[in-house]
Amino acid sequence: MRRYGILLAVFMAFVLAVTLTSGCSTPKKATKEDVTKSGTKPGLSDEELAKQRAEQEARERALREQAIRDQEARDRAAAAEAASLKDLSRIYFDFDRAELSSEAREILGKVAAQLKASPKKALTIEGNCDDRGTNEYNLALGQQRADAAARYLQNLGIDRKRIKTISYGEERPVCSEATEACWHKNRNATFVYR
Amino acid sequence: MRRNSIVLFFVFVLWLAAMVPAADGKVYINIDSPSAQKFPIAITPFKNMNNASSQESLSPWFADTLGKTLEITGFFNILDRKGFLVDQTRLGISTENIQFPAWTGIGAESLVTGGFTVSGRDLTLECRLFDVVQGKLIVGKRYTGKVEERKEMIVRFAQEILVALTGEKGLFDTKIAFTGKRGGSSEIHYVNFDGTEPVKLTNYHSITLSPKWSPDGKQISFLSYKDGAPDLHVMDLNRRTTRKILSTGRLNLPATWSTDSKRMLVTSSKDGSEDIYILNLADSRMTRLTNDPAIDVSPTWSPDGKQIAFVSDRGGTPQIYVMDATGANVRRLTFEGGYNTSPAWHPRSNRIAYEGRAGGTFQVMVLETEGGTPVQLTTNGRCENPAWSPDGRYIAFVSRLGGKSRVCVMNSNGTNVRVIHEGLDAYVSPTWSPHLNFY
Repeated sequence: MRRYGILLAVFMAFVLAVTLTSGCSTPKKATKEDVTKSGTKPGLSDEELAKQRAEQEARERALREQAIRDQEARDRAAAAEAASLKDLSRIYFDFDRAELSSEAREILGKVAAQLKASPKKALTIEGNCDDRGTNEYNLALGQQRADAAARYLQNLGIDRKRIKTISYGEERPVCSEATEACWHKNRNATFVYR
Repeated sequence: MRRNSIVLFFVFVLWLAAMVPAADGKVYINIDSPSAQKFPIAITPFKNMNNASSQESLSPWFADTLGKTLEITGFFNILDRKGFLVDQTRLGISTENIQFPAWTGIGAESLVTGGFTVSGRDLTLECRLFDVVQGKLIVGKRYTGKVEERKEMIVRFAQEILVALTGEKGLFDTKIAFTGKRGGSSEIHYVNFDGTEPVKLTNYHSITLSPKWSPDGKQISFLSYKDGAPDLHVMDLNRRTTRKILSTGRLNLPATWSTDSKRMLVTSSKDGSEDIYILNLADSRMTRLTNDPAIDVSPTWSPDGKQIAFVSDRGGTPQIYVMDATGANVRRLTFEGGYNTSPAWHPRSNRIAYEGRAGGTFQVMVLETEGGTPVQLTTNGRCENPAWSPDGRYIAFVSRLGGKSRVCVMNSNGTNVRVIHEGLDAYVSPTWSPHLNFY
């Protein structure tokens, strides 16, 4: 929705600019407008009029396309930013383990910094597992993963009362393929700010 | 359980002449023998006693339905009627009219004959079971009711046959509950032993797991996130009301009920790590049984209540351990394979069924609690979450094969695998009801 809004605004601005400037700096334009309004102005052939219309349409099309390209670039930038934030929203674990990797500890350090920077924020840590193994055992394992992350944040000086943990075991997978890549994604602790 | 069994008028007539009590000595089918052969039984078309021409089709219907019902048990070889040597149109149904050698001659050890009388909507059904080797009647029954109650009558006589030949009435009056997943949510369902009458029990659109049927048959406990956290709930099956019995803001998992249905083993992480507790339902008092920073989960009581098997990863990988009911004397039971979980204690012996890693996948195993070598019962796909039937003769489990998940039942020796529910995205945690006496 917003994207169309921006497109529309860009287009409207263009039309306005053309309208405002057409009177003095582009006589052909004025002529054309006269012709299209009255259809009686002599001096320009139908061919020339058609050519002018085509040029005008081409300019408008180019501007629309530019606006779309700009918007796409903005979207890409936003997605990249979201992705870099997303990196801070999860840590990953080895199969059947709840120990924190060095990468997980590094992310938790950043999470702790964020929490210190915004003292009013609270955090829920959701523990997840891949779907290999037993569903009940995985519920327990998910709790251990969430607790391991919570303990680490606590050691970094975050008040334990600001952190809630919940295990979803293997019940909330991010993906469902039977591949190591997908299993890896599903073995995580996810940070949700409240 | 089923209302219509109340209105069903069954008159049991015992033929005094030849009623043989099951305790009389002869064991026809030794279920627990690992080498048990299927018991060959012949079932004749039932005789249309008053020759009501409109009811001709009932004659084979009774025989076929009884045959199918017995076949579900996995104990019987139902002999093909095409091979019968006697003229089926002139069959006698009582002892004096039966040529026993004609039945032993085709390999039958037992014979069922039947006769029916239809008058309006009223049905009278006579069924007899014979030992054709000894040439005598084992059990005979007469049932009266409505024509539409004929299936119940047949199941009742199947139970009589099972009592006479195996010493127990079978599991036709039991149900199996399980978690079925679809989309992102999971709900509790149940289905009859024979796979009929599926019912969706919950409708929370949440994560609802680990149903456990109470031994009195009246309640099912389960874990549900329906209020946001993994809390324990108990559903009253008659009133269909649910009450929350444990909510700690952390993980709570229900496990086996005590035989009096007053206490329950649970896993809770309320005090830190996941440990095993006894939850007293009357006052919600919890008694802690394990105290270890590792995961302790999925406890199951021994039939005498004196021991508990459970899963722990205190040794580095999830393995099955056994402890006294007080929590003392913990010892490791499984050593083969790096991942052994879901223990279920046999209701009558010191055997534990569980799922273990075998050949890169998971299979249902059985192991004596004294130790020894595990026996692998399943081989196809991935088989998990074993649950014993109340008589210990069957195991319900979840099978995943070719991308499909199914709830299955097999005989305790791993034969006679039947699908009892399929079609949802995935299944977990079957639990077997006690006898609910709806037949």
